[in-house]
Amino acid sequence: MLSYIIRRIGYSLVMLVLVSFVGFVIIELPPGDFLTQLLTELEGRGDRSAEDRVTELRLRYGLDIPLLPRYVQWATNFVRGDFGESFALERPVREVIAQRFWLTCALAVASILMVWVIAIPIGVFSATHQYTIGDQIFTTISFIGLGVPGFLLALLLLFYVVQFTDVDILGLFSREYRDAPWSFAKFIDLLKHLWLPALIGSITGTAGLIRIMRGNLLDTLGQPFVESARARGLKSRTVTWKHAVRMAINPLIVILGSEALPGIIVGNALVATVLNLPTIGPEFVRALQRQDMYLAGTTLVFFTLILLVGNLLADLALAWLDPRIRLE
Amino acid sequence: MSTAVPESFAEDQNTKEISQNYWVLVWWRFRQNKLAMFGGFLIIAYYFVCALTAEFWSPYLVDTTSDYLEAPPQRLQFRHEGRFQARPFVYGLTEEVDMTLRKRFFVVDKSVRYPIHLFVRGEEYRLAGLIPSNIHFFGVSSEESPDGYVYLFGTDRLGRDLFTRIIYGGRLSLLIGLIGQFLTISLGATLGVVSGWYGRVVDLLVQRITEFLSAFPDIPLFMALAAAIPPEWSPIAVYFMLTIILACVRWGGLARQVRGLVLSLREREYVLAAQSFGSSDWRVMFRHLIPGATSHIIVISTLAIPGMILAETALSWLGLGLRPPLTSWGVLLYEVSGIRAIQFSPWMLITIPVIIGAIWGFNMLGDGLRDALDPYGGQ
Repeated sequence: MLSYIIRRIGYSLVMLVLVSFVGFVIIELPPGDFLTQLLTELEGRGDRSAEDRVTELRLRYGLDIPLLPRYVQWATNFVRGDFGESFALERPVREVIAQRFWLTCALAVASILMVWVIAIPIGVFSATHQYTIGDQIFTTISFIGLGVPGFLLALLLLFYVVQFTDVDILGLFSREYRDAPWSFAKFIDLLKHLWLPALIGSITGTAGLIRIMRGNLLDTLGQPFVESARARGLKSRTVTWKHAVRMAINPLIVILGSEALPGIIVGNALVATVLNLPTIGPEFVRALQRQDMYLAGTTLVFFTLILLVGNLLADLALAWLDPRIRLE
Repeated sequence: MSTAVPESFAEDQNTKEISQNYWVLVWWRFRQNKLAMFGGFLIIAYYFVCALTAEFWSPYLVDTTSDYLEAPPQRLQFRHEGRFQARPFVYGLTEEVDMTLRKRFFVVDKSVRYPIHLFVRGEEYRLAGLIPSNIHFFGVSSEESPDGYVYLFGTDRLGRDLFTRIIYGGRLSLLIGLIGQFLTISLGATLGVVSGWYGRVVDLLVQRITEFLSAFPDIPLFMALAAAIPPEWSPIAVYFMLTIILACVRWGGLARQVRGLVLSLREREYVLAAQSFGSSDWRVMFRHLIPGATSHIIVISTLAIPGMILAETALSWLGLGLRPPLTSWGVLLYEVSGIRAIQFSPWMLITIPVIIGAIWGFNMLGDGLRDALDPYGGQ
């Protein structure tokens, strides 16, 4: 197991280096660097210190040295926690991300919980009651859900709220808590608001997982060991949950890591942009719109990092659950 | 081996008949699936109406502006003053100003009626860029009501008919799905088959690249790459660049599936036979292995196209993809970003159900194809 963990972590680290290089290239991609624009803009405003500031930034990011050494410099800074500066916000990228980090995580965790809490029971129900009316209803709902991307649903929700209600259900906090310091009451308020964006952001993932869970469990339920468990006179409930579901759920862990999690990150980012939530997603979109590339590149690497960690955890969980993988 | 050759040659002769039977079986099975048939018709209708004959179905041209800015949708009416009318019509609109909101808006003016005719003569266009015509499927007749208008879905902030723009917008959005997926297949199938056939270093390399690509969340990566497209590029260049970006990021999954199939196909007798005749690697790959994987490629592609369409929609909606003067579904949504737009011209959101309809169509079709393309299994 230990060697598996080490190999797996090593692999993730290699990936991270490659991903960070892409992040860096993306920062470099836009034609004409931001500083030139900044310089003209600052001079236009009649800012005397503009030239000094730009020269300082130019030196700091090594904009005059070749690409590869510049990457090394950027990566070293990155590891040290210096992600560069958001030129548009005039603040360090680190601050911008840190400010929104925990709420982003809260939203992601809520979405994942949502997916599992909804998808697994429905999937199990559908499989154990195959072709009943209940199964058909759930299958139809999951099919519909699969074709409704979260951000379009969020736009429709926004329309509904704007036109027909004035309820304060959008955003992550009620008005009175928005700028308040953290307290237990604020936390409860967050929980009250979190479910809606979490649900919308994970709708595609939930629908997909229902279908996969149903299919997997149907396959498992037909296998001899389930028959023999039944033949031994175990309760139907025990057979389903302890024998069949445990087997059928293994592939779902991989899917959670490799398909559901990216879906949730993307879904949440787009939904959060529609609903203007204080998470990283909308900031990423704004950064791209303004060509604020240090912020955008770092955020992309950051998203990918979450994914890599998610994949790593999923693989380790699977190895822990399924001994065959450890021995491979 | 010497006796095996004529046998497999005979088999090779028969494969044509067998493969014909295979597609006949597929069609039979597909036809039984009502939902899949419906999905198929829906998709054909979408492509026919939006991509091929948009000019005919829409009452106006895509860039026809009017004085009716942000006019709400006109309801198609069948009764006037309680009496049923043989010919449906729309009421006119009158502009009013709300002083407190400082906003102009339109109210229905029941004194003016514009009857709707089918096949009316309107603005000149070239159908599919070729056949000149001026016949529109429906509209108001210019002889009967010279200053008449019909905006079934309302108008945008430049006074352009939304119904028309949604139909035209589908052209770019649907084609990006098709062209993007075509590029994805070209890249993914080729690299997948090469990787599975040659193995070793090539395989290792392709596998690592696909793993690397799958490490990224795809939409943020699209967004970052799309943001890097120089803004001074022409809209068409941006369009093709976007398609290429989509394909370059998405080919990995397909390549992986094709590789897996090739690994199982390469030991089959017909492939061994082809090799023993001295067929080149190239011929084996493209004449024998890729056709063997066709059904899988079709299913995967059908289910992947909605993702492409949505990626374009999301990108353009955020202002990172296509930009005006191009019209796509994403560009139409871009015009309603922000609460104020949703409050004052919510009809622009009619685009959303139209997009969702196309996605459902593809999903239904893809699901049905998946079941149908495996006609020996299942039953």
